[in-house]
Amino acid sequence: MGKNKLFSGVFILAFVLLIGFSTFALAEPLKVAVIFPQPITSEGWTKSGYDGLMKAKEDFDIEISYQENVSAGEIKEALRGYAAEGYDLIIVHEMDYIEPTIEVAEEYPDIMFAVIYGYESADNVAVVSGTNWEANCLAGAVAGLMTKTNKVGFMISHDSPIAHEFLNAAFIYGARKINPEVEVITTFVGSWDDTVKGKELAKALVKEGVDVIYSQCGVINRAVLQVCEESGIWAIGAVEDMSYLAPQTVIASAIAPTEYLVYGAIKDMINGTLKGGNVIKGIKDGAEDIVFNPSLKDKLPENGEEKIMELRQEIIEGNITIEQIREELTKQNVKF
Amino acid sequence: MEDGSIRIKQERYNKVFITIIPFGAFFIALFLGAVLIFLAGINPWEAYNYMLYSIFGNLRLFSEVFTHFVPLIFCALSFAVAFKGGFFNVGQEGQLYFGALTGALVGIYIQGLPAFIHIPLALLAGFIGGAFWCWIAGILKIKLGADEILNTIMLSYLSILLINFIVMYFLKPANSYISQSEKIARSAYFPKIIPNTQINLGVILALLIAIIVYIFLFRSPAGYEVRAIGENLEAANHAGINIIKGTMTVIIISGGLSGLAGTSIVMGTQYRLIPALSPGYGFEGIGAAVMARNNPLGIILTTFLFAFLRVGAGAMQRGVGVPLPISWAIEGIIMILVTASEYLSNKISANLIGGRA
Amino acid sequence: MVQEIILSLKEITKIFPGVIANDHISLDIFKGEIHSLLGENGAGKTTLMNILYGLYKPDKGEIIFKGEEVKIHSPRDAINLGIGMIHQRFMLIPRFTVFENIILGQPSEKPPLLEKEKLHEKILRVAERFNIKLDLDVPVENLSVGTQQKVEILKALYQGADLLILDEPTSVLTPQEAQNLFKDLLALKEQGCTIIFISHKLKEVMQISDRITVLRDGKVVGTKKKLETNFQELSKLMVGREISFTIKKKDVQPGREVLCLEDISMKNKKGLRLLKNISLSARSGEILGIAGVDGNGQRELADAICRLQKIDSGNIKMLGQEVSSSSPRRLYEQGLSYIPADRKRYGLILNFTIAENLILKDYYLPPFKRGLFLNVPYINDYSKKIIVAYDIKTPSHLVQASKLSGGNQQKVVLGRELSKCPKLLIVMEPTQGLDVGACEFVHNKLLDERDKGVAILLFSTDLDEIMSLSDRIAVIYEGEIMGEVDPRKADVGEIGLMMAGVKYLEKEVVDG
Ligand SMILES: Nc1ncnc2c1ncn2[C@@H]1O[C@H](COP(=O)(O)OP(=O)(O)OP(=O)(O)O)[C@@H](O)[C@H]1O
Ligand SMILES: [Mg+2]
Repeated sequence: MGKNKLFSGVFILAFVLLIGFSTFALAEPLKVAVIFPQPITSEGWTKSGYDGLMKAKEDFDIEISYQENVSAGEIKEALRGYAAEGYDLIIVHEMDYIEPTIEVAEEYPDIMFAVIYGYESADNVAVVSGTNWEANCLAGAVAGLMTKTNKVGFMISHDSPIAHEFLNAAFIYGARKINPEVEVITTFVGSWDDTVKGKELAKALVKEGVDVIYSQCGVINRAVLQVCEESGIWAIGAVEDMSYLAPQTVIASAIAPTEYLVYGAIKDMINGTLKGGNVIKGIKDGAEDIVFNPSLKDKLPENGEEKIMELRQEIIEGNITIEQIREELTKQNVKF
Repeated sequence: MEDGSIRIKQERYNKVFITIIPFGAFFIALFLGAVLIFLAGINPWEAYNYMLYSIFGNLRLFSEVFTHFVPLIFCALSFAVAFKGGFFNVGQEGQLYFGALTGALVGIYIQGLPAFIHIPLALLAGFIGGAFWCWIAGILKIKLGADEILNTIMLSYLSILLINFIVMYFLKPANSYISQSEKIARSAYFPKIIPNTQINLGVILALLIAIIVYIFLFRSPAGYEVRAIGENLEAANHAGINIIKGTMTVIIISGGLSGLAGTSIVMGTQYRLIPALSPGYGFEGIGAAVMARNNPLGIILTTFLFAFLRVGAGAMQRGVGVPLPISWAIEGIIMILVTASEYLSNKISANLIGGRA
Repeated sequence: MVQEIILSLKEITKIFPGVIANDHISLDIFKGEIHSLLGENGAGKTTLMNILYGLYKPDKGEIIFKGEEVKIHSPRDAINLGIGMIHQRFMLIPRFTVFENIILGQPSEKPPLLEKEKLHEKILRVAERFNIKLDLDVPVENLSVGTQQKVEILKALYQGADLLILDEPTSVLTPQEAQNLFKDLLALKEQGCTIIFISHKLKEVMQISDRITVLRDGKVVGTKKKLETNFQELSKLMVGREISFTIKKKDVQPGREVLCLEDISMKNKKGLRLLKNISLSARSGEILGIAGVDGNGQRELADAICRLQKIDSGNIKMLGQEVSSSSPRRLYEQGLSYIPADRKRYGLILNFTIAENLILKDYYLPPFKRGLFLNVPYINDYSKKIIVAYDIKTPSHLVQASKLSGGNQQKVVLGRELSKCPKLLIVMEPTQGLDVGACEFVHNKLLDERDKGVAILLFSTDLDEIMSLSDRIAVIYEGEIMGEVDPRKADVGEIGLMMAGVKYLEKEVVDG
């Protein structure tokens, strides 16, 4: 039993000593923190957020910090930690954490919080997201441009209102804008990672005569790419530039460099424009775009690239909005 | 006269010596941790400073220590009770989840109760849930002689996956796509003891239960029975102690305590059931129990230390970017060295003043 | 004749909390002698040997071995010096062969090679030299206890020991095995080995030793040449008073039947018969001795009576009631006391304190329990009383049982079981490892109980004990009762034959 008393002695003493010597001082510039649900070493989504933070650090005079691998059980502690340590902007890189973020944000009304993607916001919680449609619209345009059979496929992971009203609508609109004859076949895989099912559905599309497929289904995208390669049809990459994966198949990619979401939030914060509520970042912010596969540029129809770029410009200038798209499609009696 | 003086001198010498050893081990562990941090290219002095500054500099963050402390203490007690009774329950993690499930169900679906009924009811449900999950391993051991270490671990995985599944397909509100249950009723929240902090009823409960477990083990006939079975099954059997009943008692209590760990997270921190409820409290609790030599009062201290290190790890990462794995390594080093130092002081005391078991 | 001194202990002192286990012990051991250590339980024999073997560090004193002062910090040091110790609990790995056990822990001469062939030969040479006959290639688990002991001895010799320490080696052996051991020891002595031998059995000590040193309360009280001493003198030195070796018994006055066994049989899982059609009865006020070589079903029989093992057929009645519907605890509550043979395994919880061990069967009953809790003050008082009544040598009732000397551990068990005022007492090997004084004490206690009207079932492999205590003797062999004899009439030879499996003819004739 004596030993137990001892333990308490041990660490109380240790800490008291260390505190005694503690000479910690806080610095003055804007302090920005990002919380990641995964290790920053994991490729893709988390990495892009990290890159955005690093970019911001280079471009602006800010002090940064991040905490990685924070599980749903630990998110509140991480948020409170940053809040207690005097950070001005705390960015949560996971939409599932929106609720705990709002909870902690209530405790710290003077601090700004931002969640990358999300469905609920608060006075001091900004939800920063992509447009969900701009790049998709351009992907549709490319599909319409490339198809010979006038049948193109669009694979979406989950069936949801957003999937219909944003993703699908924009894709169909883009395709029809370039090629009014085109028929878009949309399938919902119901998963982000069931590659077997993804392949099956892709093959089914090929059987129906589709000759361009655009897949927005996480891990499944690569499997779909394989099918396209084998079947000798075009694919449009998603999220990242996928041309390196299948140089002869990927004609273009609708990229979503999410680092611009984190970067954009920080930039807005510095400009003093970051407010609670929805913050949407699109092509003009660098958060989305279309890139062509340079080695396949000669396969594009004449003036093809120009047509796409025209459309892109219109989107940037705000001449096309998603509401207009939906209206137009409804008018044309096209289901989306 | 001469002999007397030898004895007294010797004992004093030993006490001092044996007292120094775990201290030394702890500091050596911190030092090794500092070396690791240094190798990661970070100033260890700054890292430790930041940890202390951050935690002690702010009551709110300090109170975060207790969000870990409460489940950890329950898990450690769970292991200790079982260990004392000769049952190697290493499935705290799974029992925690199951207790969280049952506790959360009572928290969510029973509405309109006053807190003083709702809280005990949810706790009871959590206890039963954890106890049930442990009981499965227990009955497998008693009826089939199946090894409980393997079983409790396997059941842990099963439980975690099962809860994942249940949350995803049954508890998730229809209009949400995030895999988490609804919030429990306000009446099942642990009331806060200090407003705006994480210090809530769970802390008092955990401390109280640690003391109760201590009294149970060392001051009650049932606890005596449990320890007798754990120390020497055959002698206990020859003494007429009902081994099966005693073992069952241990299993129920041990599982129940783990269940309370889960329930306390639901009622004190998350207020809902989420799949990533525990960042490994079950396993860490075992470490804390071993370090405290399964003494419930010692467990209060070791679990507090671990909880502190958890918050500290976060703080060090936020403050100076110490990668989490390094913090885990430091925790591991402390665990190993302090445990080893106990062995060492045992051995020294054996050699100098007797005590070879 | 001047003898060469191989080992000389000077002023060795070892203090445990509250006990001076060794108090300025000085002792010379001659080369090539068999030197016995005698002493009461707790006199400090084992402690002294543990110091010599590097298990304990002495607080004071020096060890001079082969003319040089040595510091022995660990068994490895001791082995390197040529000191070997045969532990009571053998340190052998059951599944390994004799050969593997012997080379275990020995560094190879040419690592990483093991050179099994060479080592094998080397061991055989050692065995030959000391005239030890052993098959090196059988797994140790297949060997009898006596042979396992031989393995331990050979191992020590192979490691180069020329001073062997044997702490109560005969307590685990049958009388035959003990005699074999003595033959081996004498052969070792011929070869120049020195042997330190510890035993409580004066007979053995007188048979084998050259000289005998007696310890009392951690001090040397005398060293005698065997030829110049006798039982009486040694026991007086040991205990400080005369010990009577003959037991005075009152005439037996058996009362009503307390235990009745009818045709009991038991098989083990493999279908092997452990008990065969045993019928016995014990009455209050008598001691029924069960003689037999160890491992002939004694434990199974005792366990069966206590309902710790299930019988396959037959009837057991205690106090006129079938026991088959009772739990062991019910039986204990009704007046059964059971003192099992292997006290460390079945009788005690070594990591519990003396006080905790004393309440092992009663902890759940008032006055040991009060309300929901253990009645700690009462338990403490109670333990202190038992410690006094049973003369348990310990500084405190809160000492762990593991820290007691063997004899005192037995007294704890005895104190627990006898203070419950049993009606039926089953005792196995009650004096194993006890000093003569303690033996006398236990024997007198048992006789007291008998005179108080307790029925006692005494299992013992010590024929002398059985002969002197019992009112009737049944002999068990391979789970079968070979016959019953009257100790006043029977002779030892006859019982010996029965113990070896020969049925008691006279009885058969009578039965026929
Ligand atoms: N590790 C220990 N801690 C405390 N006391 C001890 C320890 N080992 C032995 N003792 C005490 O030292 C004394 C001597 O014990 P030791 O075992 O040497 O006796 P012994 O002569 O071998 O007795 P026995 O014949 O019963 O085996 C006893 O009083 C015992 O209780
Ligand atoms: Mg001894």
